[in-house]
Amino acid sequence: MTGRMFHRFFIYASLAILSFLFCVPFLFMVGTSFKKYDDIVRAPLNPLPLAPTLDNFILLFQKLPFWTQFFNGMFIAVSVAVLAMVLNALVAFGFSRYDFKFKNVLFTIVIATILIPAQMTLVPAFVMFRNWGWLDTFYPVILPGAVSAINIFLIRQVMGSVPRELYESARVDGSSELGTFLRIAVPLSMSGIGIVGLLSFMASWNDYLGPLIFLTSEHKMTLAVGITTMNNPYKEDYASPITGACLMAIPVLILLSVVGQKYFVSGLSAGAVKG
Amino acid sequence: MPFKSSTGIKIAPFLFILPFFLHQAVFNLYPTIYGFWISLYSGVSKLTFVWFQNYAYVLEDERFWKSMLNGVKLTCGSLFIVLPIALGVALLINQPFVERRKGMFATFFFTPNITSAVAVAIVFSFIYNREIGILNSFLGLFGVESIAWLESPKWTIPALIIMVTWRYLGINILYFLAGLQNIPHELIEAAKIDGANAIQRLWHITLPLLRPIMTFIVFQAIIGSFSMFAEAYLLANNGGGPNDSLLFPTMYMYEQAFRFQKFGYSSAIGYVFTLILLIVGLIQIKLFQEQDDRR
Repeated sequence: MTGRMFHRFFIYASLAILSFLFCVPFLFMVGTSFKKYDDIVRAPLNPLPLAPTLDNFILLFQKLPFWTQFFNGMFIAVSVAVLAMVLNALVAFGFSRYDFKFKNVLFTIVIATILIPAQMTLVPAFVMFRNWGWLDTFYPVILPGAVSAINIFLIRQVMGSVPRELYESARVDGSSELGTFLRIAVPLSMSGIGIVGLLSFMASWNDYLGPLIFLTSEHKMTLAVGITTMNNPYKEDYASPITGACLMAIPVLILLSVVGQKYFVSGLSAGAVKG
Repeated sequence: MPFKSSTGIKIAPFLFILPFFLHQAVFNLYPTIYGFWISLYSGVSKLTFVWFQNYAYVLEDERFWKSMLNGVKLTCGSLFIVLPIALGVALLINQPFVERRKGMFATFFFTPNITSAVAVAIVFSFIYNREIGILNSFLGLFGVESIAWLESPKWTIPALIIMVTWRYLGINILYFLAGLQNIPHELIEAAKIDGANAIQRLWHITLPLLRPIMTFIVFQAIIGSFSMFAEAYLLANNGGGPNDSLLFPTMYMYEQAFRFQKFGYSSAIGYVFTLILLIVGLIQIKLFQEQDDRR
């Protein structure tokens, strides 16, 4: 039995070491944001601040319209998440509830759009939004992410397991099609819809390229772009960007701990299993 | 289907799926066609119609091919470093006795993935800093001379791959775990009784059964590597890095369009890039499926 014990110990030890290695960048991220400049330069290997200070945060709030950019990002990410939940659920319902002409062809088209990389429309979308007067507004960073094939696919996976008899009995009871969607399909596939909301929120909150191109004035920017503007090549300021990075990571980490990683994990894997 | 007769039910499905097609038409199809039109023009303020000249220039553009080569390097890093480690960790986590703590480990590896690319790049440029960086200070303990991770073209890609490994290992572990869940433990046990050693079991049972999910994982790795933008751009301090060693296609498009105002040229790059990526993606899917058929 000692052989087996050793085997288990070996596996746990390697997993633990690897997990620790994965925490190191986070440790330094949090630690550095509380460090004084001298500590950062003199004791780089010590993740803990020797004399904790809030100076970096105070400096960050002076340099950046932090809360404006924070709420810009929040507003955009929440809008994307809400729109994504509503619109993708509608489309997924259409595909899972009904049989209609060209259904398979249309669904293949939906899936095929996954293959086209987003870079394709980088320039023409910019020119289009410029012509529409949408530059430096939130529309170009909200609307393009509202509907996507992968999210429709995710919700349809869950909706597909709703028994058809439920829909038909609702019809017999005189429920409209939209009513059936709202009262039966949505509550029963809330797990899928919720994951789409979460993933869309995170994708939007973490997005860099979109806000970089479309939001140019300081008061319209999101934090993702805002904290990168603090890299001043003339003055070595290590702490401000890291402090910003630290604050930016917090909402997603809170989301992860509140919603629970189990929910995340199952949602992300669901896309892969049939993918 | 008795309800097929009513007209309402006939239109309903199309009304439900309409948002997708409307959205695609406005935000994808129209820009795609418009982008092709733009790519036929040249010039910054005064536009001239030049037919396919931009495309000819793209194909001869050394910087474009350099960016594609960097994409190939990163893809190799993903396929031969990130994915094998992810598979290894997934196999460790998938052991029956680890089952209960699976979620805990998954969270550890997964958290970097949901952290913003901007935050990750900022923290890693600090880690890679030549004088006060954590990595050089650590290596210095063993007498390793300080490495110019972000200043020397030789070291930028390794630095990027280390960062990418940290960021994308977790999601790939999850994908592999999802695949491993579908392989019954009894099958592995039976092979064990038949005298197959660990490597034989991995090669002849686990890997073939993982093939469907591998198609997806490898596809994601290729597309993701070639689409690299934020992490590399910020690691290189808003640019392509020393000697363009961190220049990636999206970054090159961004630079041409938004720094030099060459919209036509940038659109042409977009088209060539998309076409190459589509071909590579389709070949990869075909290859994996053919091997599937042979088995």
